[in-house]
Amino acid sequence: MHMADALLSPSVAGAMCCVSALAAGVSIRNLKKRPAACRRLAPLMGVMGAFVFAGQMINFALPGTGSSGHIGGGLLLAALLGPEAGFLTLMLVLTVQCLLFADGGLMALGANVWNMGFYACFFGGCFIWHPLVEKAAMNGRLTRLRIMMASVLAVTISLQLGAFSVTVETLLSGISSLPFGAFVLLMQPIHFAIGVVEGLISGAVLAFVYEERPELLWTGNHSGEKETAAAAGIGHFAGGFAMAALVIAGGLSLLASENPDGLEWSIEKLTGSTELESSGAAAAIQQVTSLCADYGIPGVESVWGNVLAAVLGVAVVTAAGFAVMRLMSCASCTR
Amino acid sequence: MKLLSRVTENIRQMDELASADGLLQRQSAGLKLAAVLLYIAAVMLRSRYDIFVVLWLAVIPLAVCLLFHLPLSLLAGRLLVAFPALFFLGAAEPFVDRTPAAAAGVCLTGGTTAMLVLWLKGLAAVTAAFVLTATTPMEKIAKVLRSIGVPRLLTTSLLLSYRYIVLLLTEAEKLSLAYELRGSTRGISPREWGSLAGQLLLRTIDRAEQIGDSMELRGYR
Repeated sequence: MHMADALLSPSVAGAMCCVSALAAGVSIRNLKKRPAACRRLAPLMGVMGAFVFAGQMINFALPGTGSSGHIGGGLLLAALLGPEAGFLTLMLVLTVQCLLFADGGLMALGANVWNMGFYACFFGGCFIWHPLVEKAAMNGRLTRLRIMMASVLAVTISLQLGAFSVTVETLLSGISSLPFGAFVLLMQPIHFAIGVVEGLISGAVLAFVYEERPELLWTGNHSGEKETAAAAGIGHFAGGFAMAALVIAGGLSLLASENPDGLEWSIEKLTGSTELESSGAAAAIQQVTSLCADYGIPGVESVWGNVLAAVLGVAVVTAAGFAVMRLMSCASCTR
Repeated sequence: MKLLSRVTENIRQMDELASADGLLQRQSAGLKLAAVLLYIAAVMLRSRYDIFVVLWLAVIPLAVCLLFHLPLSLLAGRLLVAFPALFFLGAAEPFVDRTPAAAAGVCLTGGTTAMLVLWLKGLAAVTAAFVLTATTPMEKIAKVLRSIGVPRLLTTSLLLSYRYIVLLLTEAEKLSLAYELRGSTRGISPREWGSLAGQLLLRTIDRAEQIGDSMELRGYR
């Protein structure tokens, strides 16, 4: 899933570098707030990065297929080091891979860190792996099967999100003229299969570690401090991203190109227009419910209408995101 | 097994190349990094039909490789890693975009032009990054990153990671060889997935502890 420089436009690559740098900055700040977690982090991150690199070179045979798979680095790191340190370590692995082996482009590093690191560590790690193993670990009922299931689920879903991001980033860059649907159909099933295999291998490794040295896993069983700080970290993350999104949407929307983006360009090729004709009940509902049609505010015709619409959009999405996160954290608390 | 030893050998060759005494190696690492990033941005900026400009741009890093005797076999290895995705994505273009586009009197479809541009862009970006890493040691790259404000935690971990990759690759190679010598030549069977990589992982974590001890004893905080 490593993206090459040729698949991105400078604006998309730059934007992805900004969000990944922001994620790394917030991760470091959160880690520094916990001196106990931060102690000896540099050697641990360095050597674990080297392990993921070496581990990905080992061929794990897939019975009946004649092919092989490898470990999923992101979830493995998040399950051992926690989401923040795991994310930073995966960033190092991707940097070394891009510099040494041209596996992913230099300018595309931000996009690759986001697609492979962010979803695996913060989404797969925090919202899937951790809630699934936490309570069982506390009750001493964490089984090999549960670890395998949590790993497969976390890796598969994060890879699906990452693959979807690759599709969107490539189309937004105007690189491919493949229709959106065809591109998604090309990417998602392949990464579903890869996700299942990587999840099984990572699960087998994590189950072995749990049997041998259970204190090494991030299950919430051994360090309450680690857990609450991680939860606080997610709050800081959300705040930071909301601010960045406001700046990008409100400020940079003034610089938005008049030319159609990749998706509109593809639609134009297929239909002769950048807009699709809409009709029926769904279109009628949309007419009534859309507050900022065509990215503008009714009655504000100047460019400030677009800025206001962008800021309003970010505010609504952020509020929805907070609501979902709140629901998810409540669900994991009551379990 | 073969892959592991090939990767270790590759890293050793790149290390030797970057530490050699040559004109490009003597240039400032910051300057080289900035030049390569600007060059790649310039390549990325070209439109999907701008075949001649991209062709000229792609020639520049290739000429640098030939002029300064950077081994093309190492470059070919990198192109092999980067190209499969670009190849398939580019190969789909002629089937989707059939608008006519003339280039130097030759009539090509828009899709064929876009395919060639995508491949050339990939070649240009990979070659430029290769010129940078083949002439700049990782320590100098880390020093530049530190000077532009990248936190010490990241630069220290990056260097440690780079140093320990060879060591862990060698260990992984020994593990795979021992496994193969016991009768399996088709990769690690599912029953041993966890224990084989898990043993390597536990040893890695113990090693990180020892490195932490050594660093603290030498005054690292």
